Amino acid sequence: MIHKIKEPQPSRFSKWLIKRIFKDEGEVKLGDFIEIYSTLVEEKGWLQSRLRFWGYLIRSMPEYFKDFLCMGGTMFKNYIKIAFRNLKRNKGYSAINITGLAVGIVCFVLMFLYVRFELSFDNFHKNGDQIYRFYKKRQVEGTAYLGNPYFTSTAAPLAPALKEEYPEVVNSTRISRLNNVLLVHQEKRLYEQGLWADNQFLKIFSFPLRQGNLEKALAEPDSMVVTQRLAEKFFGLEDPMGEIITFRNTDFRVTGILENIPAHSHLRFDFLVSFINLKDLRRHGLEDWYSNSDTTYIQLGQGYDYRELENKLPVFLDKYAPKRYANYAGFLQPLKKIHLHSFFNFDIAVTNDINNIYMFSAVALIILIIACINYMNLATARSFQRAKEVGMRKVVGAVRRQIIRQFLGEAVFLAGLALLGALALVKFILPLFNSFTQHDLQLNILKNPGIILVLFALVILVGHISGSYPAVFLSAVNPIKVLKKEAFGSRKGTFMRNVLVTFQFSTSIILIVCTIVVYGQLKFIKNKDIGFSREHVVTLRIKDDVIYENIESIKNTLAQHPNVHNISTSNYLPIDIANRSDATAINEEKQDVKVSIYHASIDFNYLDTFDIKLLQGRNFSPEFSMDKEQSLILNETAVRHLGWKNPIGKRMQFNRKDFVVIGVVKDFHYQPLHLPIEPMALHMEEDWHFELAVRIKPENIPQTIAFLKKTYEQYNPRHPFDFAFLDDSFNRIYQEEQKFGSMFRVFSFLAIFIACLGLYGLASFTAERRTKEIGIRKVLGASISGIFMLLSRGLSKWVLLANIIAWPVAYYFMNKWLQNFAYRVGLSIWIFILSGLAAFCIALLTVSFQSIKAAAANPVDSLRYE
Amino acid sequence: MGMLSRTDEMILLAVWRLGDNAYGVTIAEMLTQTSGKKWVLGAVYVPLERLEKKKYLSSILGKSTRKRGGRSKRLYKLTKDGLDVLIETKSREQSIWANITISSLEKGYDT
Repeated sequence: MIHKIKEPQPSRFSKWLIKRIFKDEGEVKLGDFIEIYSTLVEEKGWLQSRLRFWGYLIRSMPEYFKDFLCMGGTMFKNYIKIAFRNLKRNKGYSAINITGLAVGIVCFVLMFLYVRFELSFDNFHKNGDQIYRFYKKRQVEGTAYLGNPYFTSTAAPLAPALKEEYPEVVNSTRISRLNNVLLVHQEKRLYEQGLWADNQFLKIFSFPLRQGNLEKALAEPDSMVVTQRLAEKFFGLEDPMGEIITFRNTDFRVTGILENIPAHSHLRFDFLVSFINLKDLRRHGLEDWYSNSDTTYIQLGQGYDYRELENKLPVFLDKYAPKRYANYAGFLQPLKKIHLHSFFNFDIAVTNDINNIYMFSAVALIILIIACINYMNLATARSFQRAKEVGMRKVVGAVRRQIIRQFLGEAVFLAGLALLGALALVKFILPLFNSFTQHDLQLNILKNPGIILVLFALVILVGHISGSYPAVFLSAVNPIKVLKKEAFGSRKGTFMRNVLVTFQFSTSIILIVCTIVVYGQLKFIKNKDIGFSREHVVTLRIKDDVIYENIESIKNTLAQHPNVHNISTSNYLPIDIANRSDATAINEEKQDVKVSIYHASIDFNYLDTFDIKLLQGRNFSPEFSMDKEQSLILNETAVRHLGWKNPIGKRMQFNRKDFVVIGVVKDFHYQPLHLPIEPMALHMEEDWHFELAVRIKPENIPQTIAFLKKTYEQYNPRHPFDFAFLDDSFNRIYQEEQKFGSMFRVFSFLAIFIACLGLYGLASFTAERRTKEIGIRKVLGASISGIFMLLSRGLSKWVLLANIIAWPVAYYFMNKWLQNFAYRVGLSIWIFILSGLAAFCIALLTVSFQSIKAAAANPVDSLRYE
Repeated sequence: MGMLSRTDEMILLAVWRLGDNAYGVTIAEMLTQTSGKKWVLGAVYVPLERLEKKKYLSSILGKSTRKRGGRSKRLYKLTKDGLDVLIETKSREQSIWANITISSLEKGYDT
């Protein structure tokens, strides 16, 4: 039997520490330490011996490491000393290296913070791996809505039906978004984002409740759950539970308080209102399979594969909604894919494209690599200075591994210095970056010690990448040759350096091409004739019943102002007509033609207000009483599609009604330029005309706006006069592209900047090294321009090569990007030539500074020494 | 045969002095006694391992005791090479210091 020996033992933590630090085989060293401890315990008391033992242990560690680091630390001290001396002696080179690396590291750190945030979306839900979102695909060929057949919008009864039908669906919920709606509590009015949600919502997702009952917070009608933030806005420090908030003329009782919704949630909202209330608000209640405004989530039981359920969905849809879902297929999307892998129409989630993440990471990494290359190039270029040192070290007995370690160490040391600079820079740049990405990223090292590890690893990695080639190169020095002052490895080094410079310039040229193309496309969009006039149009979305009811008298009042040209109300502005129906018509050959047609309901002034050109027939007019009932104006594409030679008077059916074509308008871009123009119709069917547009004169705009505002406010609406200019709204559609462009501009600037830093260093080094040669050439009669040519000739060859590499790559990526647009600029060869030329000129300029200095120097000075 | 560093020399001597009982704790104690400077365990492991690698020392696992919490000792012994290098060091030392006494050193002091 083994007796457990009851001896005083040091703390478990110190034992663990000993085992970790001293590579301990068979716990021999641990035994030694325990023995020391036991002796201490025999002499002193328990507490004192513990303290003394810790003192002993701590004293042991540096002694151990001191010896562990090369030869009792002496060599290490020497390495540091030499590294410092080199840093000081070559201030210029060091500055170039550190600046380049620092900029590279800044890019990397920003990229890291951004990517980490983007990847963290929805990671806080306890059941995260079991939650799926339902989406559907319209399966009729060639009729993709807005170019995209995928939707997340579903019918309201879908969620309960899924739960009822399948035992593996443990829970299901549906939500509907409320964007910027008015909430009222006594005197306070706030516009907030919210969701219609049922009680299951709180159970499936883990948005923690601070107050309230999870089981029934949203189970009753007229209940509302608000976030802490909203509760503070409304009620300050008072207890909000049970208070009344009015929304859409209904009094809701606050039944729960949520923690604030984290920024990395794909759903953002500040309040939840009972889904049951929708029963009375929707025309067909909550059992209508034709409704299409809810998002459905399900929670699967543990261990179920969602793909199995997905396979059963066709049968399910056939059973519950054979007509409504006849043209659709259902799918499930895992919760954690929602943020980065969504591609849906009417998506209510906060989404980003995974390709943006890839591209951003790639570009940031490339810039870091360009900075590392600078280090490699400068270190090898100056190697002949260090070669003697290496030779000497070898003579005294250094082995190759030690020299490699020395140079790697030096690179790591420099990378460490660069990191310090980079961290200071990030402090300044992060707010700018945040306003650009609209995130709230923080670099809080104290709060987040994990990041220290990342930065530490980064420094080691950067040091090793940039130090690897110089270390191998320099450690290969033959001491005998070097010390005999024979020329040293210049050929091989030069070639490698040129290859690296070529790489730097290729990437720079690629980035320049991308920048030019993106900006070219943006300019194209801006200048493109989109078929209607978007300048000097003020728009307002009508949200108040009181305005809606009095719209005719408002229009009359506005029309009397001298600076108002035209007023129109409609259900869609011409920049975004998104309503679509299936229509049928009879073509010239008397055949039935089916066509999916986008359509908008407009008034008599619509065409004039937006300057849309009428090609044939006439505009809607109050003189024709039937216009409001059955007249239709088509666009050119629709006429072409239907094959009508004389469209006026032809008939068309949609929305279960008959229409007669009275006019044809010139094609205008009623959707973003990403999409081709498709058949479109304008009619005067009754619909909510909540878009008010006013064309004003370019003079005295502020006064005109003030007049509009005054007229609007006369009716005491609850919503403020929240107007927009049509051209601003138009530009906002291309916000993503604008961001894309500015990102490329910054990155290509950085890439070129770092590459030029390196080139400048190389050039000044070459010039310095050839001082004597240049002196002799000048004495023998060479001209300044001749010497300038001599020094810059090598460069042009490599920049040319860089162009040849860069062009196909840039062409490939930009061609792919432009495919996103149905209307786009061509990729002309001039863009490439211009980018290449720009890169070449910048490179030449960088080099010329040093070359001219060297060429203009007086040979007497350069030849005097020695 | 190469020259020994001061630390290596002291450690080899301590191992020799301790005979059959040379392991981490005793070596550190012996060094503290003979050099007049406090030696901790951490300071002896690296030179011990280095000397073993150079084949000046050999080691075996010894018995465990209650005091060590049941862990065994690593007992060190001089090898033939170790002994030779010590002898060589001693004789070199003697030739370097031959005929020099403290008083003779003091006489050479330049005032």
